[in-house]
Amino acid sequence: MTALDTPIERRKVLQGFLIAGPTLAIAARISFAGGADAWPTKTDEVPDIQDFTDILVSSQQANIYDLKVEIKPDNRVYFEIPRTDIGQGIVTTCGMMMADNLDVPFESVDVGLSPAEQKWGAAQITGGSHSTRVLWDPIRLVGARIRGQLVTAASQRLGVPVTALRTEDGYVIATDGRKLSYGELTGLAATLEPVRGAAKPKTSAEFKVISRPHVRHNIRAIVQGKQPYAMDLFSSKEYLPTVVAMSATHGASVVSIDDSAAKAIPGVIAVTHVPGMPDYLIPEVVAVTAETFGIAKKAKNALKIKWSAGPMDQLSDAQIDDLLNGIIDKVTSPGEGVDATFRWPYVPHAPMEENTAVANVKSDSAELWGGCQIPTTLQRHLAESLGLKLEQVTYHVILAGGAFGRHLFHDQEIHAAQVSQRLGKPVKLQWLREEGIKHGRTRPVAIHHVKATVSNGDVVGYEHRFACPEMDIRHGLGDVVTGYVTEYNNEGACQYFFTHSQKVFYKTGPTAITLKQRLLAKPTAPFRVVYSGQLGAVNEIVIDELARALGKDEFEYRMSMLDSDRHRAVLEKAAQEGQWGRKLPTGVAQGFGMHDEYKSIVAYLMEVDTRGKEPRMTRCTVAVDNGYCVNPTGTASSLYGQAMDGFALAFRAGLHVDNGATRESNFHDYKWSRMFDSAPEMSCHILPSSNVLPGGIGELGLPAASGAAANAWARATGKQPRNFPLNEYGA
Amino acid sequence: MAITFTLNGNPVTIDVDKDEELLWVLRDRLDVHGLKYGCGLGLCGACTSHIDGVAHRMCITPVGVVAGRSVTTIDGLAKGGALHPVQQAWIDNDVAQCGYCQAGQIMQAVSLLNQNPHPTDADIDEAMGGNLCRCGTYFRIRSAIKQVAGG
Repeated sequence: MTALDTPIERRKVLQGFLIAGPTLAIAARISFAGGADAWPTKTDEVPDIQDFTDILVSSQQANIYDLKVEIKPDNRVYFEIPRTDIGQGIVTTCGMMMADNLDVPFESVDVGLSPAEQKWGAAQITGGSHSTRVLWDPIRLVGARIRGQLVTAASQRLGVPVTALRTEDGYVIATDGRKLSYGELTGLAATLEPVRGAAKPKTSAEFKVISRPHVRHNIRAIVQGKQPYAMDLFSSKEYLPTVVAMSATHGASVVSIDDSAAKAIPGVIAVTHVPGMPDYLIPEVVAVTAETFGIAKKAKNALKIKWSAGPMDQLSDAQIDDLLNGIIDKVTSPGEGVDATFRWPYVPHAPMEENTAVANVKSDSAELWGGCQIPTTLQRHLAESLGLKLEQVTYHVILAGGAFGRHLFHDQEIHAAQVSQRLGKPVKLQWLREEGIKHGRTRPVAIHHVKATVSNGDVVGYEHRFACPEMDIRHGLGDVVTGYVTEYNNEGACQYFFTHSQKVFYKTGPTAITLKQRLLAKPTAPFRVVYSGQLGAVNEIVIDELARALGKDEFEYRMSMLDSDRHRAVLEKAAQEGQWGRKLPTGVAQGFGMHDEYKSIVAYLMEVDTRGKEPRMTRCTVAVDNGYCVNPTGTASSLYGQAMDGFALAFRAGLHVDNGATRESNFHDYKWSRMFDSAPEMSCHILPSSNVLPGGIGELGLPAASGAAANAWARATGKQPRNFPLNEYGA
Repeated sequence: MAITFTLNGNPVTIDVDKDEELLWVLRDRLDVHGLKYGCGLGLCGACTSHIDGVAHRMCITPVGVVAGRSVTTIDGLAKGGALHPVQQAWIDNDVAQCGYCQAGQIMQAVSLLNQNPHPTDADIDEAMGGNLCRCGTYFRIRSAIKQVAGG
């Protein structure tokens, strides 16, 4: 029996929970130059023993099995998962897993999204790329149990022992050829305990759906414009269009509002000052409600709002850099090696669907719709903000147009509810793109100092010192305990998360990776792959530079520095499929990037053409070992998308801060990847399953893709990538 | 003022300021929700729809412009229950991830293929360069366009 098919009770469940405190920060293991022989080539780091995936999975074990499955008379299957689908494809993946384990056609399974329910505890969270893994056993065992009940019911109805029955495609079939549909048996089955031997959990050898490519469950609706997002749920005549105006500089508050010009515009319904929830960094805003969003936007621009001074009005990029340089841990290793500093700018999540929420608040109830990633925390904050009881607040989770971490927080739902409560009318609220870029949460600006110490050709120590403005992770894990802890000790929780997610998977000897943060008023949040987005990419750049410093081929050097066969197989596959070392014109080059997180390993080999005005991606090869791969189509799609993320972050994307305000405002100056950045040749190679549990995919590739893009650029231009985005700072 | 135009094959007359952007006239006044808001400045293409068969950004197109003309949104692209070949190619290639930008992507691709049935990679880069996809589905958009062009 393989790990994949082992029942959960026999598998070791790691006990881990978020207990935050600065004392949990990993002690820096100081390295220094010396005889390489005396040094370990690879030391276990915290994530090698217990990573954040383990923590997410173990924290949910008490609740995640509480899946309710409904089989309807027409044999359609409906069940809900405590997740949202923001494009990552978890609805499709879970439908596939249920189809095989229940023994029904994939097409007959409808997967719903649970509304906010406190019963889920820490289990109602979409984030951390762990959903497939944590839902694997629940769906498998719940599916087996229900099959057992159905077979037991059929046994009674047909008067034959369960051993004379089997299941297939939604039917229980007797050896004599008689068959009953699941839908016919549901009423009786629901009253029965399965008898021994009625059904066993499916093994991987029996799967017909899992591990085969499947298109997204809602693709047919999407291509016809029929997939509703929050703003499409109701008519604007009933749910009133609402936009918000936000402070001139970060952290400022309203002094006075002159709305006379705004209200004079025909079609304007109301101007509402709403307090937000400052304790949760949900900003105070002035909302404009009108017959259409177009009118609301015009009226917003006609508002004359006097804002107070903000707490960071004296800060521009240079001063923020000075602050970070003042707190970053010092590199202490003497000796030769690669010694480099790096900088990444603030970047907003900017999902295509800006922050949206629909709210209908009455005196004794609130009903909302949106794509929040942690609906339980939102439900509590809504109740607190509206003065309602928890059970009076209903939050429907729906599909959202992207998130990338943004909807771990729920600013827009609080705003929508506060406006609806004050107006006594239902509203649909949408941030304008300008608010999203200027005021949205961000991946914080960051600086790095890395020292890889080399002695006699070996890396004998690795220091990665990292500093950024404090990342807001006060969403916790959705449950009360971590919400409480993070609320009062966000910095400690950040250190805990950082320690459980950061490692170097190369043989870098004694390795120290440390985080220093300072709280600033510009809002932040985890951004796809969180701290690894910067640290992982920088590690990849340093590995390439070590190879060149030692006069070695970047591929051969990586192979020699990797610590496991699993890593080497992934890198080798990317090199082979992407034809590492193939002849390219001067100014065009290949670059590698790898990443290991979420129990998965990925390698990108990207080709970048630097001969034109801006670098172009001309070819991209991805190899991945994501454990047991449930949907190869979804895996490839996600990793191609992350190639575009990595490319944008390396070359083009970034915000500037001028005197406490964000300079950029829309997609003309906040630049993301476009069609012309996407290589005409892309391929994704999923390594044969090593028959372990599914690993995460939704964030994995970003650091590797950023690193690969930067490394290709470095090899094409002979320059060193240090300050991102390279189109602005790489000259 | 009353403005009459054809919307997804049906005549509509609406009494509205001629400067109101079509995006909001369609979404908020006529309850046509297939086209999406992404930027409001013609920078992302999420609202892309057709005026007389050619792609335009509805967020910067005043409704007065379409008086007497024909507007098609994603909601009206499939005819008589049959998907447009571009929609089918989107399904075949599993193009979408979150799906939010795809109405605009499809309408832009249909417009491209109407004018240039066999676009090169460079043609696709140019025609689709204004349509942002934050999930990064470009590779499959390109494949889907090529499938239709080759078929």
